[in-house]
Amino acid sequence: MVGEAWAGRRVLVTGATGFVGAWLVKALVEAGATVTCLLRDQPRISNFTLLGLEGQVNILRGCVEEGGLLERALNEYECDTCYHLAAQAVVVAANRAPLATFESNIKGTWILLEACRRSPLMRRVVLASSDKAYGEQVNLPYTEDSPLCATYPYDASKACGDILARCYSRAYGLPVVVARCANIYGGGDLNFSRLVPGTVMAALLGQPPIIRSDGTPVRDYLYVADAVRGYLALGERAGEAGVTGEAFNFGGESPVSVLDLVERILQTAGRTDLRPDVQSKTKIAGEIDCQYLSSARARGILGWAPLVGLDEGLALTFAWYREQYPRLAPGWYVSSAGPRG
Amino acid sequence: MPDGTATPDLSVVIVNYNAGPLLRRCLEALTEEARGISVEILLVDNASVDGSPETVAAFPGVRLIRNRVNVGYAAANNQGIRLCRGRYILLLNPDAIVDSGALAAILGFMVSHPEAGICGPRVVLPDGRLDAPCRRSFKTAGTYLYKALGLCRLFPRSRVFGRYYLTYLDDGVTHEVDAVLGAFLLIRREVVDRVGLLDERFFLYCEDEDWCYRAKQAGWKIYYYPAARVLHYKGACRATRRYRPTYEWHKALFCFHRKHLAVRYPTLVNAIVYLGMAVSLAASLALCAARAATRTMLGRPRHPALVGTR
Repeated sequence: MVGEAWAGRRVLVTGATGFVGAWLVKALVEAGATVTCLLRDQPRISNFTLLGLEGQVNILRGCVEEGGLLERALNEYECDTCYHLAAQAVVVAANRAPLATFESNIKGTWILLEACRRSPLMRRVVLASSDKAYGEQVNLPYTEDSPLCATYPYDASKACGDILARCYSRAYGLPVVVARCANIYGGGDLNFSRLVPGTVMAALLGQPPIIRSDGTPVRDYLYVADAVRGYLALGERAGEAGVTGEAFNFGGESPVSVLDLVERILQTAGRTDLRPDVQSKTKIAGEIDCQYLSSARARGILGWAPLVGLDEGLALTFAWYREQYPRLAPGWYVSSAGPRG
Repeated sequence: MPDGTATPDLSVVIVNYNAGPLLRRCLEALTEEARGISVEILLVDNASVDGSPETVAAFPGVRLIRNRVNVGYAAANNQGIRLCRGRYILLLNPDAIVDSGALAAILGFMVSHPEAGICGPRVVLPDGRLDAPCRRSFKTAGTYLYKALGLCRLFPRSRVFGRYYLTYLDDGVTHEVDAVLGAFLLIRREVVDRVGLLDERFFLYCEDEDWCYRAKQAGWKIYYYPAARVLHYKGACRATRRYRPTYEWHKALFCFHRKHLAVRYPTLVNAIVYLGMAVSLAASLALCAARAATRTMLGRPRHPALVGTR
């Protein structure tokens, strides 16, 4: 499916220890690219370690705000492609500490764009924006021409990064494209404050899943493998006319309410006996009621489409957590004697 | 360093409810005895308020599942059992301290006796006496009547009156039984796959007996294996009010009889049995009230209705 496009390409990836970043790195490595990852922290357990990526990639220790480090990396590792996924991506944490969020999400983005601009070898830059950058819209679904009306700190930071990318494209001719994805879900997301991993884990542990809202907000969900395919498609064609300097939506195209999603997860897990704990009686002030994307541009120009339906994706996701659970939590106590009869 | 993906030999599920410092002792003994065995340990906490779940911080090999409410003994065990990957599953009470060599011995017995579906050890109380329910017959109308009337205590050697606690059998010898104590219950994975999880309709009592009953119905044997010893500080997880456990105990008796035994008896016998349970409940509650009123401790073994776990 990926073809020969990536063989021998030299790619820098930020955000490689994260949920989506690690899957993207795996796909790039399997496609034959030489990948260099910028690692700020190395958590004991991350999707990066679960996928066994250490040893398969070059690793740089540092954070994206360090311009000197990025320039050195792009030069020494001769990177021709750059994926910028690093961000403070947990919405609740981001909103709690806006300045740290702006530093990593906005400043980090301009530092990286500048380093790419100054690198003579750079041919393709892909920036991870978000459907959150759109904020609340009157017209649904969101299209790429919808104005970026983000209001909350995390959303605003993603909108700013998005605008900076367009700035570098128009002002300096940097071959950069922007991906605006719906809520990405799948195995490997270790942030259990998010709805899908939190609900899946609750089902696995036999506990009632918690819904912080009143369950009615409608959202669009995109399976991680589809998101990775979208990123690869952008990475292949970021320098092309009609693609460069543009933003592309990637959505699952099956928007559901929070409550509906939770019920589907419980069904997949065979635990419909667990009743969700809906904590809010009314809509939470400021929370967007309904948001979903149109991916018509990605379909038309990139030939991309989501291949994994919601129920199939949730089944795959549950199976992943079921299998990985012993690695996600401590629980092994073994001697060298090994198993007995 | 194992990455946690291989299948362990043994999975241990501990349901904790305010076990206090006993939980640490339980885990210390367990992890010590588990050397040489590949084991995973899951602690399911039923909303304890005494800080005991934090004990697991000292045991990096133990996985903790915290429930926000007390979902009951059976449901909490089932949460752990569903996540278990071991060939053998051990339900262990936090007030049960595994003796030296017990784990290896009882596992060895199960390995060498493939017909054994469930096995229980010799369980002793802190004063050295046998914890009588660790080997017993099912509660039928007869055995329960003899127990309620005290006949099993008066005639322990009788195969008829002593049938409930099997007191006519030497407690130092391995023998087949109907049921073992849920405080330490070792079950083969295939039995769980075949007969299912614990019945959550039993909130606090008799779920072990129900499980043993279903295992026997499916053709497995249940064994008492005294070469393995466990010390049981009975009542460590007791509820603060005694009325609830008394009520739950009788409710469990009622559920067990209705689920498994009522079909075997004519209506009149069932009616007498239920009446007997109602009388027993009323008497037990009255006794609780009298004890609370006089505030004296009777110097005899505790009635099962007064403890939170067995």
